[in-house]
Amino acid sequence: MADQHDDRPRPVRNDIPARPRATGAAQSWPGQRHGRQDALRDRSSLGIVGLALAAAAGVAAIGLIDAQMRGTGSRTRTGPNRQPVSGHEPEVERSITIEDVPADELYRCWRDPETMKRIMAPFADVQPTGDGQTRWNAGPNLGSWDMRLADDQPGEFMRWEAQGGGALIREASVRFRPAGGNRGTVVVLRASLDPPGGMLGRIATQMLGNTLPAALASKSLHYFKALVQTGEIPTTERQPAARPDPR
Amino acid sequence: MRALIWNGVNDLRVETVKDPEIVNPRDCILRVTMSTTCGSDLHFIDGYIPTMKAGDVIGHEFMGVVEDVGPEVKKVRKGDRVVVPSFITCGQCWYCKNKLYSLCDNTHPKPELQEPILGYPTAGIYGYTHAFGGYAGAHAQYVRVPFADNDCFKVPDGLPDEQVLFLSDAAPTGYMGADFCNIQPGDVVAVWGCGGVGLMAQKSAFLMGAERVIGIDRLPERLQMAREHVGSETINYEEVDSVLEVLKEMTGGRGPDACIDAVGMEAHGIGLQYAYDRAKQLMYMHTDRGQALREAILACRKGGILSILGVYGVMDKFPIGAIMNKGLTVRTAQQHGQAYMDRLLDHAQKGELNPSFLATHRFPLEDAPHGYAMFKHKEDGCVRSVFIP
Repeated sequence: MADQHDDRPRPVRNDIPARPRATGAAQSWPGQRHGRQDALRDRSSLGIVGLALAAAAGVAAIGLIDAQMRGTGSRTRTGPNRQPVSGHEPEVERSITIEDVPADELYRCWRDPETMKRIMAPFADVQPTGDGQTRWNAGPNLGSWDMRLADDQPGEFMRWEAQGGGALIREASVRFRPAGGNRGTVVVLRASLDPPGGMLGRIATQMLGNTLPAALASKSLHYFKALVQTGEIPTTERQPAARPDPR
Repeated sequence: MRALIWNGVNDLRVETVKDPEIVNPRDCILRVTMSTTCGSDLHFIDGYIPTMKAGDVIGHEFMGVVEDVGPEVKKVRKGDRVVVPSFITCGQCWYCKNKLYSLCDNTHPKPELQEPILGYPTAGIYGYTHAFGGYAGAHAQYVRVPFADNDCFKVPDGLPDEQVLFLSDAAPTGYMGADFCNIQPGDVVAVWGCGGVGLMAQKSAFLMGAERVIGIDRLPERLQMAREHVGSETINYEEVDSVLEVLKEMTGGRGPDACIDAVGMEAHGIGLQYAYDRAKQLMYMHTDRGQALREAILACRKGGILSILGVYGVMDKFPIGAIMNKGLTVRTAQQHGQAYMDRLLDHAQKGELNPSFLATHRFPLEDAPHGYAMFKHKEDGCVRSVFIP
């Protein structure tokens, strides 16, 4: 029965081109390129996903997804992730538990400029500029700015402050604390946003309005966890697909 | 290379795309020797699961020969003939260490697409929507396999491709479904669905010591397979007034000790409930037609085990009261294939498990759209279409 269709004609496939060899050290790893494009794509695709899911999921589910996307799901309204009354300076906070890795090691890894560059790639291109400062570039609409390490408690806590005006992220911090039940370390990422003014600023606020920053914070934490536990970040870059951007 | 591309709802075409390459240091590239259709693919082909993108390479059940390995791959070597479970897993996170492989925390490139729906992201899958990672699939000449050392399982010499191919998904999914049932001597296990996964669940239940296995479907050729290849008793639900009553009578009024749902969100059925589900699904008011699952819940004996393998999205009218009042234990997951692969290969080598009878139809990759159409419409007794690139 298994071969009942073996009489179907089969093309002779002797035209298969040789595969190019991977080039080891010369290639770029994920997260080192396309950061800005990633951010834009993810924003628009999340909206599409939301709509598609809402269409597929029905009225009750729309409420659920909507609540989660607004960040009001199960969170307290007085804590971080609250919906800001004015639409300005929203704060986001997201946590991840990284099993079997002590806080010291996580701290050291986060301190590595290469780490920040890779895990923030979906949101901004981050380049060290010396003196503990980094240059953040979130694209033409959301702008670029410098951040300075303002508080550094080895193995526990780091806090960065934006330098000058026009910074999308006014302040960011990461805290490492032991997880309950000997389950590793909890990493808490927190960011205060200060969207640029004017029409673009308001659009950015809507786009980022307490949903995307939280999603991006969570994504960066997932990337950090993957990097620490496996040495790499999951990616769909440079994969085969029948469209210009294969990701 | 040539690959099967999803271009929109019910629009599959074989097209030329670039070859995959080593992207991360623990990747390998596999030259695909055989891949197969899965019933869960029909959900996004039919448009019931969103987050596909036009141009996606699909396919998640496959095997092949290692063509190239990344600099950090230690065990897998070029030339190895391997089978690969459909979920991509790192082997190093808490979930992998606890053998909950399809819940791996480190292989989803787009967790922001899944967290709003599920609360937390799962592992990524090959060729199965961007909400599940957006990885390129395996109905292609080549596929990139991340974490090669964890996910490539070397095939012992002497086992033909068709016997091994289904160890990628159908066999471990069915095996896990039976494993969930904690089968004790004398147990009766009922399985809704006699497709690839359902038949593998039935076979696995026998391997784990079930005294009787009852397969439920509507297609005579699949019921015949369940009887002849597996040794199950069968019920054609279109030929009986009530599956519940038939199962009760077959089990002396007690009910099956465990019930496995191997159907999922596009269940067929009869009567008013089916019409209601179908109407709501067509209007996209919910994604699932859940007749098989509801039946399994009602038929299961008091204190029994309900094992859910069918893929679901969002369903209403879910009889949680029957689960609660009868004290059922519900076990469910996407397949943790890596946890079962050694045992499955052992069963295959001993001749106890030979899923090759599922491969009812073979096609060259160029004919894959036709293969999917035959599979979807179950033409000519098609249980699984197998593609050879």
